[in-house]
Amino acid sequence: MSTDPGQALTALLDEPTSAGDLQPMPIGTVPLGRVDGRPVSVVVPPADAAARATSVTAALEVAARRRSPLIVVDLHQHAAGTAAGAGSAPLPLAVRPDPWVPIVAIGNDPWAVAGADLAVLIGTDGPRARRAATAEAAAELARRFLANLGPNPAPSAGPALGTALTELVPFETGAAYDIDAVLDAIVDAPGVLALDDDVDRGIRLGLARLGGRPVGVVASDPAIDGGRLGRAACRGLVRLVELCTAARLPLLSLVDSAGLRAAPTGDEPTGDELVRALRAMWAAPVLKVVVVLGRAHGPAAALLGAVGVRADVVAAWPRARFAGPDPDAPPAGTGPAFAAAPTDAASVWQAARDGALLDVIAPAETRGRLLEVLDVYRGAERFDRG
Amino acid sequence: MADETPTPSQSPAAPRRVVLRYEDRWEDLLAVLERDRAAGLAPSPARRALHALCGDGFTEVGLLARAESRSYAADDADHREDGPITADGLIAGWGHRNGRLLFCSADREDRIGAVRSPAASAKARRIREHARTDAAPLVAIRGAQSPADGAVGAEFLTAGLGVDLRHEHEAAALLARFAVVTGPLRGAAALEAVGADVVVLAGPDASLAIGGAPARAGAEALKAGLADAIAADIDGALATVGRWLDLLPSNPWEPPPAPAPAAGTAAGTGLDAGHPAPVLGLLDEGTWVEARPGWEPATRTGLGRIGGTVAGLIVLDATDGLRGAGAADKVVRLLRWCDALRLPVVVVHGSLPGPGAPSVEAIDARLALQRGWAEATTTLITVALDAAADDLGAHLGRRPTLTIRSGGDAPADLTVTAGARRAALAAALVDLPPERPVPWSVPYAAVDREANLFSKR
Repeated sequence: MSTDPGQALTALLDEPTSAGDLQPMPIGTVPLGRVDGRPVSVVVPPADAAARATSVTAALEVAARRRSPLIVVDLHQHAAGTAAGAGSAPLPLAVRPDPWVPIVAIGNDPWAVAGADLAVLIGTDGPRARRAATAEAAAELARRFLANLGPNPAPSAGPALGTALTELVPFETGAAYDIDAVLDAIVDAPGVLALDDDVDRGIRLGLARLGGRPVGVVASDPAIDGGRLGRAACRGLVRLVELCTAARLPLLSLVDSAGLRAAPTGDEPTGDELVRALRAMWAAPVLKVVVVLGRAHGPAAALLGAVGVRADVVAAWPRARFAGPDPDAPPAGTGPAFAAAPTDAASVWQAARDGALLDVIAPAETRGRLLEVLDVYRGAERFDRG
Repeated sequence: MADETPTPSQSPAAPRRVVLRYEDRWEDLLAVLERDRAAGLAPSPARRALHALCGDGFTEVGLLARAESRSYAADDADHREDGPITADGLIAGWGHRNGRLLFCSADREDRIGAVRSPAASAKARRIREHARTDAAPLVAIRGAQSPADGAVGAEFLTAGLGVDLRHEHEAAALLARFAVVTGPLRGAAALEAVGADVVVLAGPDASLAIGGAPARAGAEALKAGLADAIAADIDGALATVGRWLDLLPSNPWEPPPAPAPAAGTAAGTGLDAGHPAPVLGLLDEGTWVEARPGWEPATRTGLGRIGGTVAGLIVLDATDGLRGAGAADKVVRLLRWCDALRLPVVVVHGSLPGPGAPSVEAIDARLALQRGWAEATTTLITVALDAAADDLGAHLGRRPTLTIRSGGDAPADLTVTAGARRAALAAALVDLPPERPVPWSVPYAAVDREANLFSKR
């Protein structure tokens, strides 16, 4: 068991390198390796701050030319308790290569791995990153991530959890439940690969396989603040939509959200953030499949694709309820044209009557209908519908 | 007019029959039209303000709209006689200001706080569509709520918010969009307003409530980053819009307006209220307009003229200018906007802070900055204020178009004394104009960048 990022690279590559020999590479040196038979480019940035950025920029260019994923292994040891920012020169991983290639960064320093599509921190916590206890665990996360971006369907292993969804989710709309278990009961084993550990944000963002086909997954977590979305959730959603767009993955969205986080949580999204996330969701030229499990309220419902945004398929469970931007507020106006319009939450039956849903489905039908939809829309992501 | 005189073939005892002569019927119809138009053109402060904004003339459309009347049947012979003719609460049209085409819409005063009718919404969308098609600035005076807020029906579920978002998305980064808020907006109406490039709150009733947040008005809205300016009334708000319009190009393919002949290009003396201290002497007198001034006040962004050339300006505070998530958003917002409209950007800075503790907000901020800076294709000029100032290009992972310094060890393309800084900057802006795309080519590339999406796949 090791927490050395170099060991993680050794564990990840098909032909192991000698971790003892792993040294920062000269700028422009980008070795080629294989992960599960798929070519990957590797870069180990030097310690010098200016040279680190140049090294990664050059490696991104080379990886893009090769069209191979880039594995960034940062050997810089970020000592716990170090003064803010000391020794941490952020790498330019947010500057995306053209054409796009996935980036996996493994290290100990949150700043050094920030911006990668999958950032793995060994033995330490950090935002927008996955924590791995050991180098081997980090390698496994990276391997799963790359496998989920694979272009070819894999044999389906069936759902990760065999429990019936009606046993996992209470009948009452608004009740809390374990969204991770629900996801496990819908997607293929071994479940969703989360892109970060920020579970307190009330949203799950990750990759999974459904019937062997890779999909991006977003799900609000009704157990945390009613699934209300905050600014961190909005930004995370944009990152996932961007990843799905770049990797041409369908986006599966499970919606049970009571709206947006409000003051004074400090996490309430600004108007700009909301508009940006809504635009990203609206404009993403990927297949968007939405299942409303419970509440679909206001802008949060739009952010997750349940209403107002051009989702391809919207289905809902019978416990779903839709509501306008602020169901608790008094009616917005007195216009006679809307005097009789309902302002309270609407049931899934009304939404179905209005033609806003593809179908109302039973929880037990969810996985089967999703597999059917992915099959029917097989070619959808080939076309730029943006 | 109708002629009720018996025809010669009729006996005096025969029943009277109304006979309309062809020319009389035209007179009759046109009189009704004039009467209806006059009713639709009832005096209104919003209408007067739009006429004032479009100094070269304002053409109003949809004067006879009245979905609120009792009858909806267009072919109903009596339809015209029902209800008051009010343009249905929305004044919409186009006009010219200093020879430049503008599209405008305004909720009438008596509709503030009410829900827009379907006809008013359709008129607003039509004007927005015209603005997008013609790539001309759009000024929307908004005081009424969106219909999507009042109903949980098919429109909201399938279209309402989505239609407005689509229009917003297609217009974003393609033309300059202004929102003047005159009433308490919330929900979809508030989202639509803050999606504009410049938001001005006009009058004491103006407020914005986004999501579950409470309504914010005045200085509170400025501090929350919801608005760019507040004004006492609609006239003051449109005067602010006019100042922005005098600097902004209509679209990415056209250059910004030339300075007014009477305006000089003398250096500012600091007499402008709120002029950021570090750019005193860089900007032409009286040309500074600030974007989102109350939000993250340590970082200041805006537009101004330098030697007559319009440029975006970003002034970074030495201690906190790049660290906060809000500050990064503020910088990237101006950067992307200027990039889309092909305006050069000048970044004035001193020493820059380290990355700080790795929180979600700090990392999101750094990633947004890296991304915005790297993806900008417009002219980027950095001006280091002192010898100890950092190298911004190295800080953000990409070299700018030009680096101007006044000493120090960091790399510089141009080293000048502090006194010669303005002249050097003005000359650089003339020598390094942003490349303008071929008209109507790839109109939405900038929008894709704005949405952080990859259009090249």
